[in-house]
Amino acid sequence: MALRLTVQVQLVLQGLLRDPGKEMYGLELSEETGLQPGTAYPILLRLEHEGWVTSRWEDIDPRAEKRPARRYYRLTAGGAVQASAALAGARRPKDTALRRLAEGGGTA
Amino acid sequence: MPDLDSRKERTKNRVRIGAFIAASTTVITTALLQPGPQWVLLAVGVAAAIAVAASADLPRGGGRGGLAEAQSLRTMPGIDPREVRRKKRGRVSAFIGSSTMAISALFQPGWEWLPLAVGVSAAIAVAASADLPGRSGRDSGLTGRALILLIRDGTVTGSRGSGSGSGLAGPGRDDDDGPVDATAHQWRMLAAVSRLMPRPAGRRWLAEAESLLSEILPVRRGAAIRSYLLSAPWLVVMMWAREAQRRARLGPRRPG
Repeated sequence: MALRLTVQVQLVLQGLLRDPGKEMYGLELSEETGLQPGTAYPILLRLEHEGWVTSRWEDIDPRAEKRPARRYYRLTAGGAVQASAALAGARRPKDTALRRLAEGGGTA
Repeated sequence: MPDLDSRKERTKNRVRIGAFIAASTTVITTALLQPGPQWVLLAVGVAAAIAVAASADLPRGGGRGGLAEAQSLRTMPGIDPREVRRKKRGRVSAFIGSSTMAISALFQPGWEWLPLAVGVSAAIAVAASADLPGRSGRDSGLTGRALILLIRDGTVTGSRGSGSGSGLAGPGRDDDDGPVDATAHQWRMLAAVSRLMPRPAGRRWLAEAESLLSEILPVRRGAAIRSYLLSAPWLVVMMWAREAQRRARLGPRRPG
């Protein structure tokens, strides 16, 4: 099934495309896009299923770091190309819609 | 002379027993006298009887236990006995409704299968969200009780962490811990919802939620948990669809 480029999906892709080689974890991405974590998670899962994104658990000792490991996401090489193409062809959301999304945490 | 509270307790017990007898009577008369389209009544009766019996606060030690329990609840800070009763009534009503749907669907083969599915799901959800202390969880170790301890004391950690200081009790970005009771309740719901997903997917979802919520600003934690809960129904469906696809690709299991 083809990926639907909703405004939220576009925001996540834009966030990941700012630095395609960089790994981002859920909270970072959520702060970058203004989406609530619960909204971003299913999108990341779908992108991963489509092969656009790859993810891994951070390899740390939670006791030493005093926090649980993060799950890092990164665009794959093919995913970066496809995401750029998809965003270029996508209808750009209106600024008012983006503002509403940011105010509502992405659940609007 | 017994005080007002103990009389009230006895009256309540009488009402409860009356309700149980009425429900049982419905079951027996329906089954014996009207074996036909009246199976729905049978279902209602069975469900109500089980629910009433299961939820009864049977007095321990000759009727004083129930009263003592009620009084101790009143002295515990932060627990409103009326709230506890309201929640219990809600849970029992939900159980009756869902069990009725499930059983009715079983006994009425002409019906669509949907009520069965909805009913079973709702019943599992209600049962899973009950506050059962010491209930064993999944491999992640994140039982409802563990999550509460995690958020309050930092003595219990999640799937990939142990010892104090990690998990939700880890250093947040603000000293304010927010409304702990509300958040703790939402945490229990997160753990319950994760049990509705296929096991690996549920574990990953919960672990990621734990990881993220341990670092998020405490003032934003409640909203974040709500967003996880709001997206959960769709995720449950999506994950099971994927799991079904995966199993279909693998083909039927061979013994040995």
